[in-house]
Amino acid sequence: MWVFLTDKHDVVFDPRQYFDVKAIERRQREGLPLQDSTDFPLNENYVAHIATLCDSVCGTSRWFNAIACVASDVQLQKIAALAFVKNIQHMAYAPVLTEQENVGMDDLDEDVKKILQGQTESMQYSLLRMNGYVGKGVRIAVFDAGFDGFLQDEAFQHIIAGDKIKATYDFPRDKKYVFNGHSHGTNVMSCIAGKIDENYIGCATDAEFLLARTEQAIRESKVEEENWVMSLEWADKWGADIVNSSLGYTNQFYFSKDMNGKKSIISQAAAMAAHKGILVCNSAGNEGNTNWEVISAPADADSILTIGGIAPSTGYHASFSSYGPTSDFRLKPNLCAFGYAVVTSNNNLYVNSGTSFSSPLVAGFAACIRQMHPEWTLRQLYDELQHSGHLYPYFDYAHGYGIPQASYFIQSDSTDSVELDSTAVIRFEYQQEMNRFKICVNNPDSNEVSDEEEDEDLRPWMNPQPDDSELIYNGLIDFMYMHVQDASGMLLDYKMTKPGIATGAFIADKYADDCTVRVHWKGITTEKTIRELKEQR
Amino acid sequence: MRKIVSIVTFTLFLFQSSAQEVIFERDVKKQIERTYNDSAGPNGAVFSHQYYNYGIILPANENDSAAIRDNMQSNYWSYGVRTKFKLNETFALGFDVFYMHQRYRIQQSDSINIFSLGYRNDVQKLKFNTLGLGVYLRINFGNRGNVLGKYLDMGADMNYVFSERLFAKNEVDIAGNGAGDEVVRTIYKKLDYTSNLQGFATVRFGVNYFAFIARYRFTDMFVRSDEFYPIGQIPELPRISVGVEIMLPTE
Repeated sequence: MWVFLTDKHDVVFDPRQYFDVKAIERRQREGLPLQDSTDFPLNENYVAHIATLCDSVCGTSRWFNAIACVASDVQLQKIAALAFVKNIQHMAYAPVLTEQENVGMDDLDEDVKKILQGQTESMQYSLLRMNGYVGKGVRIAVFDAGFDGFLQDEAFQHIIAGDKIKATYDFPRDKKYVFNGHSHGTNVMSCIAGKIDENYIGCATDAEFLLARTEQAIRESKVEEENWVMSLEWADKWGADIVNSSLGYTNQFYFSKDMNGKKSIISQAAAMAAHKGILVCNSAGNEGNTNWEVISAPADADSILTIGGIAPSTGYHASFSSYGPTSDFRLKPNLCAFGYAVVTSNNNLYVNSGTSFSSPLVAGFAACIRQMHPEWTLRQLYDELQHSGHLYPYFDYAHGYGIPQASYFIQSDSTDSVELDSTAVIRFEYQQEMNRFKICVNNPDSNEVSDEEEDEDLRPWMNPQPDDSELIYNGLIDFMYMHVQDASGMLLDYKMTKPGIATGAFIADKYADDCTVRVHWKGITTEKTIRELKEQR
Repeated sequence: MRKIVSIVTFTLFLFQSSAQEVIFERDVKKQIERTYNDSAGPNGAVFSHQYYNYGIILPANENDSAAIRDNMQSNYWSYGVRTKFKLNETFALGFDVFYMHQRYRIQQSDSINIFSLGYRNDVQKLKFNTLGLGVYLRINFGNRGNVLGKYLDMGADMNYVFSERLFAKNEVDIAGNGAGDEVVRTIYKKLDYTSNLQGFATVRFGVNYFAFIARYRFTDMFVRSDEFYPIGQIPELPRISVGVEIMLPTE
């Protein structure tokens, strides 16, 4: 149970004593006061009093002025009757780590090497690295189920040798050692900062780390969200710039309608962390092909980056990746990255799948951008990361703004991104017979609608459609994306079509006049209102 | 000729208009109706699911009860559809419609030996095929999201017996050499001494997709006995059964 208290009367707090120097620097950067009431400790008398009435106190939350405890119904009645108790809330159990089963490739064959290269190069990591942006001086907190095998793994020796692990804590066991339990955290760490020789598994190879074990095990024992909340406060204290969390709470404790960023305490905590200048990256979840279908908590939180997964083989949404929007219709996921990634644990490299690995890939990328722009406030960093998505300003509820691109931040002549065709335009042609608009990509110098160059390597649809699990990365693919957005900003529908002679079509009469159609192709986005289109026909 | 040209033109037009190849498409409104909907799902206002259960009939110690083989050969299985109506976070009402097959393998004994007085069959089985309706009150425990969670059901089932069979199997010494060289199987149908209705009280404790069930049959199995059991009432079959149930996921 969370027991929320009414006040923090008679408490003493010295921020310079409590916070790490990086936490103070972050507050200064964000223009925040060094302290506010959410940083104050709890009233010790209140905590002591509650401790006498319940079975055990599991922990406390300064941010929420709350005590996590175990208590019977009778005990709860007594606690609820106390004058300094505001309310009581049940806690969630059994989060699901957003990991799928291993794909099962232990040896690095050519396809796996493509994945390994693609998981960072799809974000143009070499451009960052060539310019020295490798997360240096940025502090990343990683919350997971354990970091088994981390210390022995070759992929992390640069982190260990550089003394980059700044703090660790195992919240379920209440001790500092985190390098046991599950290897999921080791997998995740490899997607943030792993490297073997010159093979980069993640982007932030020079970052500093705070490692927190927040879960006791996967899918077996009860795991409480209090650990996650306390870990976030711990990360704040230690000066985290970025938090990566690859877990989600779904139907065990919530209805999908609760995914509004306000219902679950971890979503509230994630939003609070954002308010304090921490960039929280959370996996969207792996519920895309289940009945739940949508994002989980805390991926629904406001102002955090929710990361979806794409399948390298198809170049678009991996079927398991959870969909947005939130139940109050905010955009989620915000960005996406590979949902199949090469990870390491115990010196084994293999492909694993799940948005568990998409999120750390973006967290590592974000650390490089934070190094590039230490002066940016969180809001600037958050907005610019979204703007760097390869689909921006197009977005949808499967891909967000797409995969973040380093070329947005660093101008370069040679990148592997989608080639921008400066002469291409997107045109809406009315087809009277069908009472619909056809979307055409063409060159204004020619009256012909252009055919795409027939490069099979870049066009998996020319071959039989590959399955999600086929591990072939073919580079970013110039699909035609289209969405219709209503006046409130919510998407009504969205789709991707194969580029070609007739690249897409829609019936304008289906939509209200103030809706907007937005089409994206090869880095170009065109938009028109339905009213404009109706006038055009 | 003009007709053929028209058909070809129309076909080409259709081909042209279907040239767009949608490889990924989402209707957001439909998704929202499907997902952000309080009434849907296992803890929604109304929830239906299929289930399968299997149980064994416990041997009875009562003197007037027929003995059954206790090696799990007297058992039942059923398949049904359950619909649950949520009353509040704690209580729900539910209805079951199901098919149930019951099999009683009767242990032949000198003392209580139903249907074949004066003769011990090698094997004797009584089978019922029934269609049932059930009603139950569900009590849920603990807080939960959109899952069934932990629950206790208390209810009653009424089964209509649409088919019943009495099987007997014996090795018969046809040659008269004492070798018992012929197996004779006898099936009796349309038994007029069995009840067409069976009533059960049911208690079920479940956690999400799995439940334990205990059932007590409160109606008698036999309605008349003078023909087959002239010395009195046919000994009743055991009334208590226990089993497990698996809910079949809806996705």
